[in-house]
Amino acid sequence: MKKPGSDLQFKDIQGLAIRGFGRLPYAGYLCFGIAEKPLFRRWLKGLLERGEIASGKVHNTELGDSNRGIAFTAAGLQTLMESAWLETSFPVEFTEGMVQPQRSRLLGDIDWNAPKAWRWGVQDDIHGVLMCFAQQRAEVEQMLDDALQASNGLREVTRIYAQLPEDGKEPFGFADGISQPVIEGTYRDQALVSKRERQLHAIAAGEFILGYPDGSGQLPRSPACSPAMPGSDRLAPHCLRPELRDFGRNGSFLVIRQLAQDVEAFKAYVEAHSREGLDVGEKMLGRTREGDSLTRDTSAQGVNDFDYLEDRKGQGCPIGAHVRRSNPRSTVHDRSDEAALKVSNRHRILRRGRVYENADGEVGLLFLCLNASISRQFEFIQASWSNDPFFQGLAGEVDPISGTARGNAGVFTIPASPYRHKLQSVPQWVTLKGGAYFFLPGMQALCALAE
Amino acid sequence: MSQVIFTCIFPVVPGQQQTLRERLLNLEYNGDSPKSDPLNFRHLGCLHYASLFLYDDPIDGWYLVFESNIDGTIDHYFREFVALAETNNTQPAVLELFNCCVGFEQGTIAELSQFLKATVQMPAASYSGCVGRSRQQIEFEAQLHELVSATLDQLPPGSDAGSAALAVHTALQADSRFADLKQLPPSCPDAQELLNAQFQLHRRAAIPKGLKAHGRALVTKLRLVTTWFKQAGFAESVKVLAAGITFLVLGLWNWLRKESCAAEDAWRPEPEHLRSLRAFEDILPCNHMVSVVHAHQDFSRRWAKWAAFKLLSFAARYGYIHGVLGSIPTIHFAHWVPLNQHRRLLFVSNFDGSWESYLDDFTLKAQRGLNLAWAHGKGMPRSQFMLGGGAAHGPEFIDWARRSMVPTLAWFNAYPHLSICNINRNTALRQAIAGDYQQNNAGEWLELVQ
Repeated sequence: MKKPGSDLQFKDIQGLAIRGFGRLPYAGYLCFGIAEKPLFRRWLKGLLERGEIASGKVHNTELGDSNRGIAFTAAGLQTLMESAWLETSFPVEFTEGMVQPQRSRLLGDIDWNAPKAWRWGVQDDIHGVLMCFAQQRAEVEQMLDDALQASNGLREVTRIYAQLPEDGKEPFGFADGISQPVIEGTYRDQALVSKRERQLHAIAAGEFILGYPDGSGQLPRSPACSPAMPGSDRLAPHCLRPELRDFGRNGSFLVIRQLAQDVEAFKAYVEAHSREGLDVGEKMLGRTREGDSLTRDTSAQGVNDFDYLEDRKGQGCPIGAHVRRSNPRSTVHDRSDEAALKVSNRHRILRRGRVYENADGEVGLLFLCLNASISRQFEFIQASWSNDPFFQGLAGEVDPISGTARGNAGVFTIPASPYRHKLQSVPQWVTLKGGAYFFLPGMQALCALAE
Repeated sequence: MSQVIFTCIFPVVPGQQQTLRERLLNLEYNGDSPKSDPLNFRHLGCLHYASLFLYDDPIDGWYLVFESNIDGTIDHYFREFVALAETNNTQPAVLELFNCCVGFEQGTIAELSQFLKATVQMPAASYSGCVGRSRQQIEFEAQLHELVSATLDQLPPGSDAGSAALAVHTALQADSRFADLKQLPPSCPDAQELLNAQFQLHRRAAIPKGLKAHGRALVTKLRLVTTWFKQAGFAESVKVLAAGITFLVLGLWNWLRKESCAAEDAWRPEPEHLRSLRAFEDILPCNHMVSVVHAHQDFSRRWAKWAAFKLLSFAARYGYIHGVLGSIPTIHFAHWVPLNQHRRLLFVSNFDGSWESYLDDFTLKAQRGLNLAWAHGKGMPRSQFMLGGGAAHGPEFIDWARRSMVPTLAWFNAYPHLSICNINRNTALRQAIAGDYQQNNAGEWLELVQ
């Protein structure tokens, strides 16, 4: 039987969509504006010709000492595509961007998290993001400096350095990146052994990469461009409108948010409210510090092999815990547990985040995720799971780690027998410092942009 | 207590739609004082949810729609509505809205009740997530939960179930509001009876052995439907069976002749239209949705639609009474009304969570029900036999639904901080505590408290 998704065109997919460059622990992210289009195109073409932007076909072991990814905002694509830009073929959340009053309300970017207090992303001056990965921090710095040479046509808007933590733990002290969807048709997919693991984590390629069937078996909507665009002849005809070119094929939408973490406040609160047998930090996060599940699933064969069905009441992992809200697995309401898991799996994201530390000591997570639909995946998780005060029967509380306090929020319920324990006045310790929506084009689309 | 779900539809005096729109946008309707609630919604003790909005029909012009979800009778509701306007001296604000409507340009407050009654449209199908509970009961049970929760918060860590239950009982006895928790009826007499019947059905493990999972599920479903018919009685059962046969015959006919339909809309909604909708969304943790679609009108599709609504109505009344419609646990009140000689179909819904999560539920969990209701909407993704396809085309259906929506200009929600899950949990808690008084159990109900 032909394996679904096994026809992935790795050669035309940017490497970042396939792997997290775990062998290149240091990263630099340069949000840039395009100052001179011809110079920028020449620079981009050079990167592509020299193979300095890896495709998904390049295996981790062949990456060398450094690599790159590049993505563009709606303003950036409009600038480069000129008259070939077809705004209505892109989703409105992408063309409007993250900073829009109603979207801010939906995402919970209000109060402390409101865009007016952001460091970057508020002005419409970002055209793209260059993501550089290397073995050493100095190499990454050099890569960004090289990119900013005047002859390359870029101007710097902001830059952020981040890295994979040596101990694998994010700043609050918890193992990170444990639960990650596996794209069907990739080498990781073949490593999934048990049936439940496959059901839980093997996700149709079209949920993350345009041009392939998604979880419903249909092709996700893909942006188009006019055939008048130079270089567009290298793009396939658009599947719905053959008179246009499929600009989106093998691309993905990228979300970046810079999340500062108040580690001292978190640790102080956890220490003050924990008692013997109750670590409220673990309860709020939903895993142990080492990454083990809090569910009491006796059949689990690994740290990620559980579906919360044996912990429906949340007495192991609280219903409102961060990881459970981010992916409730089989516990969304549906006619059967299998159907519920399928519904949950329509809202998965590929995370590519790393931790950062500023010169002034601010630490946090540079959250990056890839998805085929920003509204159905990233925004849905943010609005309908993390920030929903009514999530799965709860009332007046949001994600205790990353949710935005609303109204009387600041409450966190820890279900227990004979009755629940309730945390009051849980502070907000994660603050949004900036963010934007990007499109990570496929390699052929990048070549077309460079023409 | 019986609930009534209905809408009043008023043709707007030509040219007055913009004035009316501005008045509605400037109207305050969620405050405690008459000034901040000139329509007196908060003081209308029987009102759960209400909304006002406008829609434009290309043939008949603009309409004002007034949606209400109430306890008791429509007569009583309108009498109270008018009486409160007089008592609180808010007649000018009330009249300046309805004087924009055809037939009431010079109307007075004394004539308003009669005018409103004449415009009532009852829904073709409706659904309530809190069957049988009055607004007072919902608010009372929420207060009970609040007191119980606050009592548990005061207990020393590690208290056992017995001492927790005792503390709760002591707190309740000290509060005169909760003198008799059994005074209230169960959630709904009809609903309770039906639930009991369904429970009995599940206890009878008489499903033939050897049937596989699908077979067992089918047998259980058939038995459940049988209890619905028993509950409905002979006359209504005959009507529903007639509707079922009509649906099968006309649905098959429509399917076989591969009915022509308007081209499916493949474009995304206009950004400006989306912004006009979003301006009123996600202000509270619950939301309101209004959709007015254009419907195909030929004989066979119109009557197939009529039959489909009869079936939906029957299922909502006798089947979906646990606070979950299909697999959607977030709807407070929803209804469909055919308008403009069946050329248009209005759908109004009051639900928990964001619009995105609601439509996600629609397209991932309740495709068949949606197709039954909307299959003959012009421009909707093509469905098969009014059941398959259609809403299963997720993004296309969502875009179509967005294009058919109009902004809610005024929306009243009596209990915005209670989800339908919270309401049902609070009822279960009250009933359990009331039972515990008698049985003197150590509170198994403690786990219901948040």
